Amino acid sequence: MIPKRTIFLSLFILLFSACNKENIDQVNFDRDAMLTNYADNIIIPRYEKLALNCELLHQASLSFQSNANASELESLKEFFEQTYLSWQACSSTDFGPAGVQTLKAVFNIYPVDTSQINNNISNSNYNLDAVNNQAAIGLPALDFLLFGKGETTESLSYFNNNTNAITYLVDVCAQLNTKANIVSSDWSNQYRSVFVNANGIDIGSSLGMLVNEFNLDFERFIRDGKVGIPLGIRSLGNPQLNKTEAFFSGYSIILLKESIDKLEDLYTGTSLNGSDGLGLDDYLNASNATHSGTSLNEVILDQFMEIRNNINQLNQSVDYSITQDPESVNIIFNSMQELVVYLKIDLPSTLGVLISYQDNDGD
Amino acid sequence: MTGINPQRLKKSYKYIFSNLVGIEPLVSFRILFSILMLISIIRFYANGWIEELYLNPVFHFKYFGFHWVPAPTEEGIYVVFISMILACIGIGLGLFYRICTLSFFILFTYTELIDASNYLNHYYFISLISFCLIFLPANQYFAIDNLLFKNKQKYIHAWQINIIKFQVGVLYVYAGIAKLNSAWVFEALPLKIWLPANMHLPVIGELMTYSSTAYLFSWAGIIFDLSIFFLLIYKRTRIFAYLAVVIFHLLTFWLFPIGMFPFVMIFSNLIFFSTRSHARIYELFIGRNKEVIPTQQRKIKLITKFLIFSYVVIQLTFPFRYLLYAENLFWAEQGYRFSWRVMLMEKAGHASFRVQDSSGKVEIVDNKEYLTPFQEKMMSTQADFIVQYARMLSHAYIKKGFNKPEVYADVFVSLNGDGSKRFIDNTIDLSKERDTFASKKFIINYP
Repeated sequence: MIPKRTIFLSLFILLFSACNKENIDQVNFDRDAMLTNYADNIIIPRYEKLALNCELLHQASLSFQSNANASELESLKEFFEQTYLSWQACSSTDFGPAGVQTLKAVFNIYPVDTSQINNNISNSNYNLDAVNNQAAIGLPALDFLLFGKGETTESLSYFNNNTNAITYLVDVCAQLNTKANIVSSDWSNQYRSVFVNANGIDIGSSLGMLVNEFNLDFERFIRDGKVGIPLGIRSLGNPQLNKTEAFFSGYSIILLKESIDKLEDLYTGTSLNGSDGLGLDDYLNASNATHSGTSLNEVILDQFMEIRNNINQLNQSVDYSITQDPESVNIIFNSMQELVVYLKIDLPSTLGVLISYQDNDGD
Repeated sequence: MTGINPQRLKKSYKYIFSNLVGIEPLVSFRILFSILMLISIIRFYANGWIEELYLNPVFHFKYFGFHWVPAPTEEGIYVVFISMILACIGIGLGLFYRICTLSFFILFTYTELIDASNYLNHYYFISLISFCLIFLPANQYFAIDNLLFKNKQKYIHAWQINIIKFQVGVLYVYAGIAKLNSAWVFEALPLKIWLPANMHLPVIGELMTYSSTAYLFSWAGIIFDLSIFFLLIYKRTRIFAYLAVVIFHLLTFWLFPIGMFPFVMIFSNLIFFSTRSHARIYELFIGRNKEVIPTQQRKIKLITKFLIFSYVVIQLTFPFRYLLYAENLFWAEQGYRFSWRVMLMEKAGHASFRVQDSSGKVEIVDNKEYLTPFQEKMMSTQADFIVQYARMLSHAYIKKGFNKPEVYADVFVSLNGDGSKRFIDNTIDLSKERDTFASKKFIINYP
């Protein structure tokens, strides 16, 4: 009979020798520094840029109001494009102040409800913050007003014969400006420290929100919204061209490209001026995440590249490409679907981040 | 010469089963159980889970054999929860105990049967324990029923306490056996993934990032689970074992999102302490109990013996039903539930469904139209839910005007962070499949 003490002793020795055999194998990563990089070098500058562009857009709309000529219209269109592009960088971080201000719903609900806009203009009695105006405001409303009334001369005659329409345009710009500035200043003034300090992995943690929100944005708003739904994935394969983003201006391709670029920058922790800081890519590398034998980070980066290459095959606009060569758009959808799998399954499950949009016990 | 000594066997049978023992441990268990359940139910309500888990879903996943369980109405579910609260209070006070335990068991089990995607091992544990309580005389002492019905009884048969110890023991030992798989033992998975995520914690955060820590925790977990029951029943190790129980469960509470389970276990394990230890507490309130052990033995009915035996056999064998399936248990999860496989794997999935009309037209399903995010997450990795969902989709699309819709799924799953892989054969029309106990042929084998 072996004495119990001997059994216990040998168990302990076994345990600790196992620890020694293992080389100092460690997940060596500074998650706090990553969150700081996300706040200071990526998310806050993106909202600041959006706020600045909205400010310029609003100014341009006021100049157009006082002088509705071709050059003012041109510059308004120019600021519209810049604002729409800078919005793509903010779409994936719809939490914190952006969530409070429902920024996504204010900025980019499409397809736009053109009859609601026309009604609002002719009644000139509207509340842009009301829920029933959600599809009559934001960048899609500007897209319709600036590009949906015809070429420059037709547009100008529309506005000159309809001062209510100019007022509506200015009001839409003013709303964007107000909201973007609130979110931008809330981020720098209060939310930054909240974000940096919520350094855990639970449902309310910054990492959890970041990963959940960019997955939600990529799956629902980029893959489905910008590509899948116009392609007809929800309508028996029948294309829904008017559900394309920026349908009237035809900017859909540059916006799609920009959203992919900015999503990748968010993933890699790259700032607006291109300097690469600590991001999820570094976190994955530190965790030795792999996928079918290769580094998961490389698999993800390759997939971003493939999506970009596929988008580069398109010309003019997404809706035009659907009418000409639906397969070229379908390829983009499928390559995005692959990235959804990597970002939504592989990334969180190697980092131990809970990807659930709601709190619950596990076991 | 050793061998089975009939005299000894009879003695241990009596010791485990038919001897008369003091009722106090069971009474303590009754009271603590009711308090914990009360807190759990209130917490459940306060977290908004009644709405999220029972009212928001438009579709509910079911357990095989329980598809008939109706979804609650809004008033209905609140009536159920309020009744459970009243039942808990009744159990705690020992007031109308039999009715309260019976209704608590039925109502609690009903809430679990509403939607199988909410399955947790500790909910199953609570269903089993409340089922046992119906038949245990926990209201014979320190209970209002004593005053009402004058049915005080200070000594009960040993099995009436041991059945709960048995259930707790099954939970630990089977959880330990489940850990004896190569991923857990040799690769420290999934702890190697989960622990480093806790790098932000004060004091121990840095420690969590070393893979040696994951190995240490994995192995300590096995040793703890396999031995704790025996160390708790053995008098000389009991107090140390209980200390280990407290430390172990508090640690899991700190590191993982597992809700009330650690506290349920910490308090349930008090039942292992002797009658004497429990009696000391009651003496503070009602003085020393002077009743002596009745000399005349009460007989245990044959039918009772048979039922206890059946319960024990079912509990011991049911977790092994997975052996009947050829597929990888963790991948296919056939025979996975109701087997005390707790915190055993990191699993994530993504499922995208295509519905095809007989004319060849295809639509991709927006899962959010039919499932809550939580349900979608659970469905994406569990084949029985995937079939149930596919069948529901086929009905929904018939209503939408589809002619003979066929449902195909592109499902990718990652097990223990080893890279997403295709989970379901995407050439099989899932609307024709059925969710049964039979092996699911549309699951692609784990590579």
